[in-house]
Amino acid sequence: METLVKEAKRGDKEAFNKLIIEIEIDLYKIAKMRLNSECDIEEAVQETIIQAYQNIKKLRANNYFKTWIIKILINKCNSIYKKNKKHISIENNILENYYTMEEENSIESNVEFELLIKDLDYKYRIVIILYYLEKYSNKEISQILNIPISTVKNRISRARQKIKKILEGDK
Amino acid sequence: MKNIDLEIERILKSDIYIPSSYKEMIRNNIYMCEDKKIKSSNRILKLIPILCTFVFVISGMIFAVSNHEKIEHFFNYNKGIDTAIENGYILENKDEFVISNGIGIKVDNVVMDDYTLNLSFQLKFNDEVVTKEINRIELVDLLISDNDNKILCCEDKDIFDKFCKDKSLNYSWKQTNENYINSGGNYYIKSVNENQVNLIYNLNANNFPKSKSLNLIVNTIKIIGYDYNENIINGNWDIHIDLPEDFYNRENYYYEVVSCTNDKFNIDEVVVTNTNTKIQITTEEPPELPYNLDDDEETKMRKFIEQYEKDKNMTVEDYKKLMENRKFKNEYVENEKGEKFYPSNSTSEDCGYANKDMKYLVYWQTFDMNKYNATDEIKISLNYKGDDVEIILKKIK
Repeated sequence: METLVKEAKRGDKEAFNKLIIEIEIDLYKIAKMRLNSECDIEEAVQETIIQAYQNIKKLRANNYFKTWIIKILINKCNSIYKKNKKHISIENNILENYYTMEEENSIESNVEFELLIKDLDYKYRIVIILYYLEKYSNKEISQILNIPISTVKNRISRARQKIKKILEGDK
Repeated sequence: MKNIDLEIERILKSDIYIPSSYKEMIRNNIYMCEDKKIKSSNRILKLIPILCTFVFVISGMIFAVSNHEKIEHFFNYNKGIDTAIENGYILENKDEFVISNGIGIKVDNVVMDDYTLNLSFQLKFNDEVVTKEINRIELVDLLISDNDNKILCCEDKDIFDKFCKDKSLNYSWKQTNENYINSGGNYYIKSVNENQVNLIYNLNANNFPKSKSLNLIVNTIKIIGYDYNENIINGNWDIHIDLPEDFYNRENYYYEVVSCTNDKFNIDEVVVTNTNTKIQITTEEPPELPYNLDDDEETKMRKFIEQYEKDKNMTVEDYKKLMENRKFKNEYVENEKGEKFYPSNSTSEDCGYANKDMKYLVYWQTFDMNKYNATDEIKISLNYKGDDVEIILKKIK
């Protein structure tokens, strides 16, 4: 990945494209932790990619690319979420229905994954995906989310307990 | 409960449903940062070179052909191609079907020049496929190359990468050049006859090479029914076509300006091929942008994307309104015999506007005059922003 980042910084569009394709699933999953609708997820990821493309030359450490782009994505997701929140009083039902329709239409929706998203608060979802999927340390997560390390540790611990209950309850 | 950490990791790493629209957005996004390419259900669009900021392409892309319409013209609604065919400019290929997984494919007719590559496929199905229930057929990963390993059309990156690897070619996906042609077009079912379907592919480009043969590779066919159910059939169809001398020894006619009633026009080129006539005109004209110049970058990009999305989902009504308000209108080319030729009214036409350096407007158009009816002197008539313009040209010997 670092080689691709280097080439992308030199203006190699193909290298940048390959970088994005390499992490497309991760970006999707992270966006899904915050956003319900597929349109919003696509918008967040799209804006993230454009911003990354425009600013990649400013990235100092090549090995930091993925963390950097995840940070951008989390911020974009938060912006869109806040923007949507203003409309929730009117459109709440529509958003919920839309999400349900997406579930029904999914060809191979993973039930356990969907349960985690539905039943965990966002603040727990985001830390577990960064910790378990992206394998960031507590320190790195605290830098990405701009929260104290102690808060990260707390949230991971509580998330583990909640998930255990969810999974046991499901069975 | 097994180790909870392992369970969480397993769940988060598991496959989840990712909408195809997301995947397509990812594949296209880099090009949206600078350029744009999209594949719709019935179109293959060319990569549009950004001269400066924007390209507004007005093409016949909305000209969708229903499978129930009777297709009068051979390849599409393009009189230029019809005339060429009437004058014998067509390959009638007698090769046998290439059969794989119970389906036979062959290419029975081809027309090719610098701007046009039209292919008529015959697909023969076994009894398991009910052909009258087919709404659309896509040759999902079609790759067309020629005897010099130039790629003329490719819609699938995996096939592209494999082809380049097998042939030790140093091409990069979407980085088109003289060996990897930037082509686009459309495809549709022309007719269904018992278990056989005639599928037409019309491709256009600025510079199809003078190929002596074509190689077509297809590994995936998608059949879409009227109920939108999709059936994917995998196979190995490898088709070779030798092209006639008329195709690869073709010569175009080039024209130079004798007079023009608009002194701000620069006539970049007028080229007459075996199937069409292409003109390109540049004039001083500041661009109409979807954003304000003093908007910040983020706003500019957002408005650009909004316009792009709107253009992508243009309806026939939107298109008609756009055509009514366009700067160049009522164009035709007239030969010395007084015959008039109009913009090619088909989805393989190549026409549009682009702004250049925020100062110039570049306009190009394709007419259905060809070498079989072009004369030494021709006249282009058009209306530019309400004023009639006449351009007299003569053939360069």
